[in-house]
Amino acid sequence: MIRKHWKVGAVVLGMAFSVWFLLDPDPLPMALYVFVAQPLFLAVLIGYILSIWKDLRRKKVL
Amino acid sequence: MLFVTIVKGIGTLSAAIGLILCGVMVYLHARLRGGQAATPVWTLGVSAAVLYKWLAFGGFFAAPFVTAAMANYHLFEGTREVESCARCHVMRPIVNDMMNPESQTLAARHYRNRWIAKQQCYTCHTDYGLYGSIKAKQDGFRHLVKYVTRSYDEPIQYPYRYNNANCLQCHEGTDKFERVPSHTTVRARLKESSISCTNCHGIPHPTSEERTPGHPSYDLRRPR
Repeated sequence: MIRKHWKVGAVVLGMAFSVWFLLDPDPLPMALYVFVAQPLFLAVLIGYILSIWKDLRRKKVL
Repeated sequence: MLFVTIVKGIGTLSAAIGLILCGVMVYLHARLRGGQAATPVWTLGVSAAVLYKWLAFGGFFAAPFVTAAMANYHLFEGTREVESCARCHVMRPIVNDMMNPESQTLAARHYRNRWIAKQQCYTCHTDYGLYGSIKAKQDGFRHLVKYVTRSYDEPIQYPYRYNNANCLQCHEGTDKFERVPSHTTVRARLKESSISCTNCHGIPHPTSEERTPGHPSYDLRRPR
Protein backbone atom coordinates (compact mmCIF):
# COMPACT_ATOMS: atom_id res chain seq x y z
CA MET A 1 0.00 0.00 0.00
CA ILE A 2 2.73 2.44 1.02
CA ARG A 3 4.89 1.51 -1.97
CA LYS A 4 1.96 1.97 -4.33
CA HIS A 5 0.80 5.30 -2.98
CA TRP A 6 3.96 6.99 -1.69
CA LYS A 7 3.70 9.66 -4.39
CA VAL A 8 0.13 10.48 -3.36
CA GLY A 9 1.19 10.68 0.29
CA ALA A 10 4.14 12.91 -0.58
CA VAL A 11 1.97 15.25 -2.67
CA VAL A 12 -0.65 15.49 0.11
CA LEU A 13 2.03 16.30 2.71
CA GLY A 14 3.76 18.77 0.39
CA MET A 15 0.47 20.49 -0.44
CA ALA A 16 -0.45 20.72 3.24
CA PHE A 17 2.86 22.41 4.13
CA SER A 18 2.61 24.68 1.08
CA VAL A 19 -0.90 25.87 1.95
CA TRP A 20 0.11 26.37 5.57
CA PHE A 21 2.99 28.55 4.43
CA LEU A 22 0.85 30.47 1.92
CA LEU A 23 -1.77 31.30 4.52
CA ASP A 24 0.55 31.86 7.50
CA PRO A 25 4.15 32.67 6.45
CA ASP A 26 5.71 32.25 9.90
CA PRO A 27 9.22 30.78 10.23
CA LEU A 28 8.08 27.20 11.01
CA PRO A 29 5.74 26.73 8.01
CA MET A 30 8.33 28.52 5.88
CA ALA A 31 11.02 26.03 6.96
CA LEU A 32 8.65 23.09 6.40
CA TYR A 33 7.85 24.35 2.92
CA VAL A 34 11.48 25.02 1.97
CA PHE A 35 13.11 21.95 3.51
CA VAL A 36 10.29 19.34 3.40
CA ALA A 37 7.59 20.22 0.85
CA GLN A 38 9.92 21.21 -1.98
CA PRO A 39 12.08 18.05 -1.74
CA LEU A 40 8.87 15.99 -1.59
CA PHE A 41 7.59 17.64 -4.78
CA LEU A 42 10.95 16.98 -6.43
CA ALA A 43 10.88 13.32 -5.34
CA VAL A 44 7.34 12.95 -6.71
CA LEU A 45 8.35 14.54 -10.00
CA ILE A 46 11.32 12.18 -10.35
CA GLY A 47 9.14 9.20 -9.42
CA TYR A 48 6.52 10.29 -11.94
CA ILE A 49 9.07 10.66 -14.74
CA LEU A 50 10.56 7.24 -13.86
CA SER A 51 7.12 5.61 -13.97
CA ILE A 52 6.50 7.12 -17.45
CA TRP A 53 9.93 5.93 -18.56
CA LYS A 54 9.24 2.40 -17.32
CA ASP A 55 5.79 2.40 -18.97
CA LEU A 56 7.22 3.48 -22.31
CA ARG A 57 10.03 0.89 -22.06
CA ARG A 58 7.48 -1.80 -21.24
CA LYS A 59 5.48 -0.87 -24.35
CA LYS A 60 8.74 -0.80 -26.35
CA VAL A 61 8.24 2.83 -27.37
CA LEU A 62 11.70 3.67 -26.04
CA MET B 1 -1.51 43.55 -1.58
CA LEU B 2 -4.17 42.45 -4.04
CA PHE B 3 -1.54 40.58 -6.05
CA VAL B 4 -0.33 38.74 -2.93
CA THR B 5 -3.94 37.74 -2.19
CA ILE B 6 -4.33 36.45 -5.75
CA VAL B 7 -1.08 34.46 -5.43
CA LYS B 8 -2.28 32.94 -2.15
CA GLY B 9 -5.64 32.14 -3.71
CA ILE B 10 -4.18 30.45 -6.79
CA GLY B 11 -1.73 28.46 -4.65
CA THR B 12 -4.43 27.28 -2.26
CA LEU B 13 -6.83 26.45 -5.11
CA SER B 14 -4.22 24.43 -7.01
CA ALA B 15 -3.35 22.56 -3.80
CA ALA B 16 -7.03 21.74 -3.25
CA ILE B 17 -7.35 20.54 -6.85
CA GLY B 18 -4.19 18.46 -6.43
CA LEU B 19 -5.58 16.83 -3.28
CA ILE B 20 -8.84 15.98 -5.07
CA LEU B 21 -6.92 14.52 -8.02
CA CYS B 22 -4.85 12.39 -5.64
CA GLY B 23 -8.02 11.12 -3.95
CA VAL B 24 -9.56 10.14 -7.30
CA MET B 25 -6.28 8.49 -8.31
CA VAL B 26 -6.31 6.27 -5.23
CA TYR B 27 -9.90 5.28 -6.08
CA LEU B 28 -9.03 4.59 -9.73
CA HIS B 29 -5.94 2.64 -8.74
CA ALA B 30 -8.18 0.22 -6.87
CA ARG B 31 -10.33 -0.21 -10.02
CA LEU B 32 -7.25 -0.80 -12.15
CA ARG B 33 -6.07 -3.50 -9.76
CA GLY B 34 -9.53 -5.03 -9.95
CA GLY B 35 -9.07 -5.63 -13.68
CA GLN B 36 -11.34 -2.80 -14.86
CA ALA B 37 -8.67 -0.85 -16.76
CA ALA B 38 -10.63 -0.79 -20.02
CA THR B 39 -14.00 0.00 -18.41
CA PRO B 40 -15.23 3.55 -19.14
CA VAL B 41 -15.34 5.68 -16.02
CA TRP B 42 -18.60 7.39 -15.11
CA THR B 43 -19.87 9.37 -18.10
CA LEU B 44 -16.46 10.64 -19.22
CA GLY B 45 -16.19 8.08 -21.96
CA VAL B 46 -12.53 7.27 -21.27
CA SER B 47 -11.14 4.13 -19.72
CA ALA B 48 -9.91 4.02 -16.13
CA ALA B 49 -6.33 3.52 -17.38
CA VAL B 50 -6.41 6.64 -19.58
CA LEU B 51 -8.09 8.76 -16.92
CA TYR B 52 -5.54 7.59 -14.35
CA LYS B 53 -2.72 8.85 -16.56
CA TRP B 54 -4.32 12.27 -16.97
CA LEU B 55 -4.96 12.49 -13.24
CA ALA B 56 -1.37 11.46 -12.53
CA PHE B 57 -0.17 14.28 -14.77
CA GLY B 58 -2.39 16.75 -12.92
CA GLY B 59 -1.78 15.42 -9.41
CA PHE B 60 1.93 14.61 -9.63
CA PHE B 61 3.07 17.41 -11.92
CA ALA B 62 0.68 20.26 -12.78
CA ALA B 63 -0.88 20.93 -9.37
CA PRO B 64 2.40 20.68 -7.36
CA PHE B 65 4.12 22.84 -9.98
CA VAL B 66 1.53 25.63 -9.71
CA THR B 67 1.39 25.40 -5.91
CA ALA B 68 5.19 25.46 -5.61
CA ALA B 69 5.41 28.36 -8.07
CA MET B 70 2.95 30.42 -6.02
CA ALA B 71 4.61 29.47 -2.73
CA ASN B 72 8.06 30.33 -4.11
CA TYR B 73 6.81 33.68 -5.33
CA HIS B 74 5.39 34.27 -1.87
CA LEU B 75 8.69 33.12 -0.34
CA PHE B 76 10.96 35.37 -2.40
CA GLU B 77 8.74 38.44 -2.59
CA GLY B 78 7.10 38.19 0.84
CA THR B 79 10.43 37.99 2.69
CA ARG B 80 11.28 41.48 1.43
CA GLU B 81 8.58 43.01 3.59
CA VAL B 82 9.18 44.42 7.08
CA GLU B 83 6.28 42.31 8.39
CA SER B 84 8.13 39.18 7.28
CA CYS B 85 11.23 40.14 9.29
CA ALA B 86 9.08 40.89 12.33
CA ARG B 87 7.66 37.37 12.32
CA CYS B 88 10.87 36.12 13.96
CA HIS B 89 10.70 37.26 17.57
CA VAL B 90 14.43 38.03 17.68
CA MET B 91 13.83 40.80 15.14
CA ARG B 92 11.01 42.49 17.02
CA PRO B 93 13.15 44.85 19.14
CA ILE B 94 14.79 46.04 15.91
CA VAL B 95 11.46 46.53 14.12
CA ASN B 96 9.90 48.11 17.22
CA ASP B 97 12.74 50.59 17.35
CA MET B 98 12.47 51.30 13.63
CA MET B 99 8.79 52.16 14.05
CA ASN B 100 9.34 54.18 17.23
CA PRO B 101 8.72 57.85 16.28
CA GLU B 102 11.07 59.02 19.05
CA SER B 103 14.00 56.77 18.23
CA GLN B 104 17.13 58.38 16.78
CA THR B 105 18.67 55.25 15.29
CA LEU B 106 19.50 55.32 11.59
CA ALA B 107 16.84 52.74 10.78
CA ALA B 108 14.15 54.70 12.65
CA ARG B 109 15.07 57.98 10.95
CA HIS B 110 14.99 56.33 7.52
CA TYR B 111 11.62 54.75 8.30
CA ARG B 112 10.03 57.81 9.92
CA ASN B 113 11.05 60.19 7.15
CA ARG B 114 10.22 57.65 4.42
CA TRP B 115 13.71 58.00 3.01
CA ILE B 116 13.06 54.41 2.02
CA ALA B 117 9.46 54.15 0.92
CA LYS B 118 8.95 50.40 1.39
CA GLN B 119 10.76 47.13 2.10
CA GLN B 120 13.00 49.03 4.50
CA CYS B 121 14.81 45.99 5.99
CA TYR B 122 15.51 44.41 2.62
CA THR B 123 16.68 47.65 1.01
CA CYS B 124 19.51 48.07 3.54
CA HIS B 125 20.31 44.39 4.05
CA THR B 126 20.84 42.95 0.62
CA ASP B 127 24.11 43.66 -1.11
CA TYR B 128 23.47 44.91 -4.57
CA GLY B 129 24.25 42.92 -7.69
CA LEU B 130 23.53 39.31 -8.63
CA TYR B 131 25.98 37.73 -6.19
CA GLY B 132 24.69 39.93 -3.40
CA SER B 133 21.10 38.87 -3.91
CA ILE B 134 22.01 35.17 -3.97
CA LYS B 135 24.14 35.57 -0.86
CA ALA B 136 21.27 37.39 0.86
CA LYS B 137 18.98 34.45 0.11
CA GLN B 138 21.60 31.96 1.33
CA ASP B 139 21.89 33.92 4.55
CA GLY B 140 18.10 33.95 4.82
CA PHE B 141 17.89 30.15 4.56
CA ARG B 142 20.72 29.76 7.09
CA HIS B 143 18.92 32.09 9.49
CA LEU B 144 15.70 30.12 8.96
CA VAL B 145 17.42 26.85 9.94
CA LYS B 146 19.02 28.45 12.99
CA TYR B 147 15.72 29.98 14.04
CA VAL B 148 13.53 26.89 13.80
CA THR B 149 16.20 24.70 15.43
CA ARG B 150 16.71 27.33 18.15
CA SER B 151 20.48 27.18 17.54
CA TYR B 152 21.20 30.85 18.15
CA ASP B 153 22.05 33.14 21.01
CA GLU B 154 20.38 36.41 21.87
CA PRO B 155 20.95 39.21 21.30
CA ILE B 156 21.59 38.35 17.68
CA GLN B 157 24.66 39.95 16.13
CA TYR B 158 25.45 40.96 12.57
CA PRO B 159 28.41 38.69 11.76
CA TYR B 160 29.89 40.57 8.81
CA ARG B 161 31.31 43.98 8.05
CA TYR B 162 28.36 45.99 6.76
CA ASN B 163 28.62 46.73 3.05
CA ASN B 164 28.49 50.51 2.52
CA ALA B 165 27.26 49.91 -1.04
CA ASN B 166 23.82 49.54 0.54
CA CYS B 167 24.05 53.16 1.72
CA LEU B 168 25.91 54.55 -1.26
CA GLN B 169 23.51 53.15 -3.84
CA CYS B 170 21.03 55.81 -2.64
CA HIS B 171 23.22 58.55 -1.17
CA GLU B 172 26.24 58.74 -3.44
CA GLY B 173 25.91 61.40 -6.09
CA THR B 174 23.20 63.33 -4.30
CA ASP B 175 23.85 67.04 -3.79
CA LYS B 176 23.62 66.70 -0.02
CA PHE B 177 26.18 63.89 0.04
CA GLU B 178 28.63 65.54 -2.34
CA ARG B 179 28.57 68.84 -0.43
CA VAL B 180 30.18 67.20 2.63
CA PRO B 181 33.98 67.50 2.20
CA SER B 182 34.79 64.44 4.34
CA HIS B 183 32.75 62.23 2.01
CA THR B 184 35.17 63.13 -0.79
CA THR B 185 38.18 62.57 1.45
CA VAL B 186 37.17 59.04 2.48
CA ARG B 187 35.20 58.06 -0.61
CA ALA B 188 37.57 55.21 -1.57
CA ARG B 189 37.52 53.79 1.95
CA LEU B 190 33.75 54.11 2.08
CA LYS B 191 33.40 52.21 -1.17
CA GLU B 192 35.55 49.33 0.05
CA SER B 193 33.74 49.39 3.42
CA SER B 194 36.99 49.72 5.33
CA ILE B 195 35.28 52.44 7.38
CA SER B 196 31.63 52.46 8.30
CA CYS B 197 29.04 55.14 7.61
CA THR B 198 27.82 54.61 11.17
CA ASN B 199 31.15 55.91 12.52
CA CYS B 200 29.77 59.40 11.90
CA HIS B 201 26.04 58.88 11.48
CA GLY B 202 25.12 57.02 14.66
CA ILE B 203 23.99 53.52 15.49
CA PRO B 204 21.69 51.82 12.99
CA HIS B 205 19.67 49.72 15.45
CA PRO B 206 19.13 49.36 19.22
CA THR B 207 22.09 48.35 21.34
CA SER B 208 22.80 44.74 22.31
CA GLU B 209 21.33 45.41 25.74
CA GLU B 210 18.08 46.69 24.25
CA ARG B 211 17.90 43.59 22.03
CA THR B 212 18.26 41.20 24.95
CA PRO B 213 15.15 39.31 26.18
CA GLY B 214 13.72 40.94 29.26
CA HIS B 215 14.46 44.49 28.19
CA PRO B 216 11.27 46.67 28.08
CA SER B 217 11.64 47.41 24.38
CA TYR B 218 12.21 43.76 23.44
CA ASP B 219 8.64 42.66 22.77
CA LEU B 220 6.43 45.73 22.73
CA ARG B 221 4.28 44.91 19.74
CA ARG B 222 4.24 42.92 16.58
CA PRO B 223 3.64 44.90 13.39
CA ARG B 224 1.20 43.40 10.90
